[in-house]
Amino acid sequence: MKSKRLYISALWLVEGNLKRSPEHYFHHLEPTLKMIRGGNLMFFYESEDILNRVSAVAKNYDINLLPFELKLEDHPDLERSKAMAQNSCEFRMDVFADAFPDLISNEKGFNQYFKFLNRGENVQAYSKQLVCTIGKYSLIQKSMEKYDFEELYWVDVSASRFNHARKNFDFCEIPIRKDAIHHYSSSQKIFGQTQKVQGSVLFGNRKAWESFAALYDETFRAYIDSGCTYPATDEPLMTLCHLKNPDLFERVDSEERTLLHKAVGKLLSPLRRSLLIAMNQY
Amino acid sequence: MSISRLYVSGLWIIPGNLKRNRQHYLDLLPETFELLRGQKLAFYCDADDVKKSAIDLAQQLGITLFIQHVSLAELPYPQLIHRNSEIIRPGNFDVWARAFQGLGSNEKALNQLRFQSDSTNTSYPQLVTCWTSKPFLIGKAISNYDYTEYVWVDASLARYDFKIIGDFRRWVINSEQLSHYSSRMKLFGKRQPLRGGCLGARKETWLRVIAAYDSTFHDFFARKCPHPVDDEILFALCEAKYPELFHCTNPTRTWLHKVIGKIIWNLRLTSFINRALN
Repeated sequence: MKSKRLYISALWLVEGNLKRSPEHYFHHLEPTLKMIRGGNLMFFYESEDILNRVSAVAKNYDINLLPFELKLEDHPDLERSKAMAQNSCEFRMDVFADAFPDLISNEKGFNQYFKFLNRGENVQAYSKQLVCTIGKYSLIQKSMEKYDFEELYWVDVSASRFNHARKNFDFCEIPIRKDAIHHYSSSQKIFGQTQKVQGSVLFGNRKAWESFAALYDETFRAYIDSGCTYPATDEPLMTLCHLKNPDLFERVDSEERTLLHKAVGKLLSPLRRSLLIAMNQY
Repeated sequence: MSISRLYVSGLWIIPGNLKRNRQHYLDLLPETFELLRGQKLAFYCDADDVKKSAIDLAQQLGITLFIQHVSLAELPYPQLIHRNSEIIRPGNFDVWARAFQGLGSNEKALNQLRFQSDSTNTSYPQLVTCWTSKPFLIGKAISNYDYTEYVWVDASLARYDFKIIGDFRRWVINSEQLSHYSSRMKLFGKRQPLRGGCLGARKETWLRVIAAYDSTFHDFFARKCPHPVDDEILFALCEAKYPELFHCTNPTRTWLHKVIGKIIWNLRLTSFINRALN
């Protein structure tokens, strides 16, 4: 029987990427491809060297590789990414970063601005790096146009770094439960609120991706047009989409809230504030 | 040594203030003065009707009033704030403010849209000028009137619920710290330590606080920070640098909270309770 699932991934090595070295991606490439052993993989690349590496690993794991050459300069979202990176250069929150240094690791915008955008000094490289994350949805659309697979799984080349680190980490084993984008949760914050979606692995059926594409595109455009300086990647944009239409998302690593939790929660609800203060979470 | 206390306040009505209208302040002024019955008060304002109300109320309530006309332009740094008004626009993060609306985040930067009143954006810099001027007005009072303690009170302070947070009139102000109430507002998810409506310290402490505040104020604008700004945010940044200068009079985490927290932690129930409380 013909498989109905397509995995999609991409790798561009951006010079001046302050976030990850090329070794980081190559280190995780093999364990990631091992996870999708025997599957179909559409892979976007621009360098022959990367294609050769990926082909060699794919062969080892019996993967049906469907390569697609795409120069980063030709990426359909590059101009939008440049505009967004340029807006982010105005996020000059140095006074808050000095006062609360942990924001640089916990708060998405601080993380992007101080670590990767380097206070606006790395804007050229950052724009290219940004399109790799923010532009994955255009690649999924491209794959839907080119092939007629029913289930589409975006998988970052480095997705295996989460193996054993999050619940239900083996995404290949998770069935698509509804017409929604299935995703893992994130621990990063946006203005102190938990980011709703982690972008390394995202999957859904064709219907869900089609509904999502329009929402994402509208959100992306509106964000740039607003001139918002808060540095965003695909994850904050996905969070905005989630807040607009939560039914279109399905978290796959939820901690189950059993009947016991609900009953205890009901009993404790009058003490909620005091308990949160006691646990230092208020 | 006998302790003498001077309360300090001020009121400027800013047209276009969408958060609080003129009537809000005029309604609360008598109630705030009632809280200061029989006390000594330095009061700064620019409008004749506000001045008249303050004089009448002080007479009725036995308040020793030192009233002084100070125009908005005479408050500290209005030009600096105005020059930066394009940077500190309250709508800077309105995409997020609208997205998180109704989730009860109490996040300061997302709570500023209500100040965005007009397309010319003139009222916001004026509001910022008023909000951020409190420590400087205390400095002015210290120069003019010799007391041991100086306590800033917002003209609308009567809106606070003192049954819950305690009565500032009974504050025993220690010699090294600025006494203040805690805030529910947050800065990038972190609790803002201080609520700006009532702030009390001895003269020497105020002088140290004012120096720290002044330096933080200038640093904020020199680095062109696009976050909306008010006195509470500047004090939060000061508190991060000089925590020893600040004393919260209504600590939310008592020893009982700490003991219960320790028990929950030791019994490894944190995750369970979090899930139970959803």
